Amino acid sequence: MILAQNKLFRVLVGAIALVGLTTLGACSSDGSKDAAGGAGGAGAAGSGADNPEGSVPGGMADASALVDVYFDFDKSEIRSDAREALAKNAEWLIANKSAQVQIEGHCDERGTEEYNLALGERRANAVKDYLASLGVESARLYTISYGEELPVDPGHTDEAWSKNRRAHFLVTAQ
Amino acid sequence: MRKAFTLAATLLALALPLPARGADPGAVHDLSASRVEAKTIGIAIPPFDLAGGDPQKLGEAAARIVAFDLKFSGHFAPTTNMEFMRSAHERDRKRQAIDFAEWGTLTQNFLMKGSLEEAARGQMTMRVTVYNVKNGQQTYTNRYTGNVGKLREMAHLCADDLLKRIVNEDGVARTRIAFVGKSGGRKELFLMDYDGAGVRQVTQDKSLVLFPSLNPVYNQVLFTTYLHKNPDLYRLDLATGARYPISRKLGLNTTGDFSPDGKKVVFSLSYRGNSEIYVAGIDGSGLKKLTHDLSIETAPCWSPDGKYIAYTSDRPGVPQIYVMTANGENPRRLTFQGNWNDAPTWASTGDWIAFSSLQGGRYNIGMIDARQIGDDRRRDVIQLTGGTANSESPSFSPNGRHLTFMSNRSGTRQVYLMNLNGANVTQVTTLPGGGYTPAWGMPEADLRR
Repeated sequence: MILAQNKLFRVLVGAIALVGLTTLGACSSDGSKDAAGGAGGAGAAGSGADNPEGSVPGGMADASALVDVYFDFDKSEIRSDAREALAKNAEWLIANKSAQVQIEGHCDERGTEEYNLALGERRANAVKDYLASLGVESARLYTISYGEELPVDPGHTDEAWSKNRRAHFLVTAQ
Repeated sequence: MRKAFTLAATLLALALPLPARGADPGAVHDLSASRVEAKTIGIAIPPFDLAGGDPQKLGEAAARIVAFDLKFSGHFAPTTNMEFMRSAHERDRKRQAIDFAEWGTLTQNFLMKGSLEEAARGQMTMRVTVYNVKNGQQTYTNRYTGNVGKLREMAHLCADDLLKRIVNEDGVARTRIAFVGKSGGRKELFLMDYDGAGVRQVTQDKSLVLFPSLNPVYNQVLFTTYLHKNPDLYRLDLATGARYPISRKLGLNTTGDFSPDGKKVVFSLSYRGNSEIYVAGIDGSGLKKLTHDLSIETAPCWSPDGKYIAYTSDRPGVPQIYVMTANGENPRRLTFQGNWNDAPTWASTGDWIAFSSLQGGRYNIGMIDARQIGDDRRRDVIQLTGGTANSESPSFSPNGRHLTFMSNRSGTRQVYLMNLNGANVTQVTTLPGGGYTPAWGMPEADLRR
């Protein structure tokens, strides 16, 4: 690909670091056994390392227990770091059987708006399929693509782009 | 129009080496660095006279609008020295005769003298006379009457009429552009005159609006809105503001394009999983699936004869431009250069397909010869833009001689225009929230209701 070797490395390190942080957060809230939804929502939102502001209004609550997963440039394959994160997300979804979740697919600002919208959809679908393979009923999962329209980080750097190429989760019913 | 195209084609041909032969992927010719300027006709347009002592600004505004239109056509090089023209014109008025020798120091071609006067109540008349500076002969005269406040429309019409008369070309002075802008931080649909004047907001969805396209026959616009928490495809009647859903299936309902007869739309849907191309009536009836792949197919556009559809497919692993018949038969890859080609648009002349093209790490406007689209020859990419910024989402003017596109060269994404040889790049929006994905359309007066 066009990504230089060291650039790719930084992207991966950045993403792994992020996933590490949020995984820790999810573990502790899991450990407290304080039903990850409901009251947990508001409390966790403040401390969450991963709290994108990009989401369009419409969801009921930000599923703070569900962590974002990240993608390589122009790719929708589930990376190994994303597999770990999705395994945690699947655990939460299996434990919270009534939760309905919207999976948002996002892209970075590079690339064209037209193709990126379809790429975001493919990323969301890839995540949906992966969660289904881990035993989550796919009827509870909805996908929506926002393409490059709602970046978490408005910057124009490799770091910003790596954060923006993501799938984000929104609990729409619980 | 045909004649005009021949000129453009000749200019392009002059600039390009012979097309490469054999099985290579086809070359990329960067025109952005070596622009071929069209041979231009000189014209001086001093401020128009105003009977009734209205503010001086109006007469100067009229002259500037006509000059902008003529310059943008690529055929004229209007004089820019307004101070000189104002004083020379003042001297002509005092002596009640035109000093062609003095005007000859500015141009040896044409001089346009205009006037504005109040006609009936609330009406205004614009008169123009064009002289040949060399011999002082009057070569052309015309007059326009309309509501006071319609100065821009009259000046645009005047420019188009002169262009038709002098170079026999249909101009774009009365055309308009639909685009996405921001209001309250949200993307909404906007409309403006082609020169960036008269920006008006069309939607108030307060969600996300994307990818407008103007109907070439009826006064309608097509767009995608997230108003109902899903990217749905809508058509909006611009005269009444009434909107009609075309497709509201779960997933993407996006990147719509009207057919040349204005009665059908081609667009992409993802409700079956991956994004595929579909066609339907403008009311959404008779939905038909045209592509059947596991890859992404999106951003379709019609050929001007309605026989073909160009679109983006990432079947090769990266997005490339493809073409198929309007029935979805015989899909073939058109671009082989670079790792990202998207958003094709077909000129009304049928001669070119333009698209967003990743070249040298930047997105630029690329163009390929679209004639004899049924044959299998490799087509070279003509790169029209360059530099360190990105240029994306092209759309042809109705006469097929110009392109509008989005670029971030000013720091934010804004709407630009240029000619097909890459010359006359003109920024037409300077909006704080930016201007995105422009779509060029016909003059409102030429559309059916």
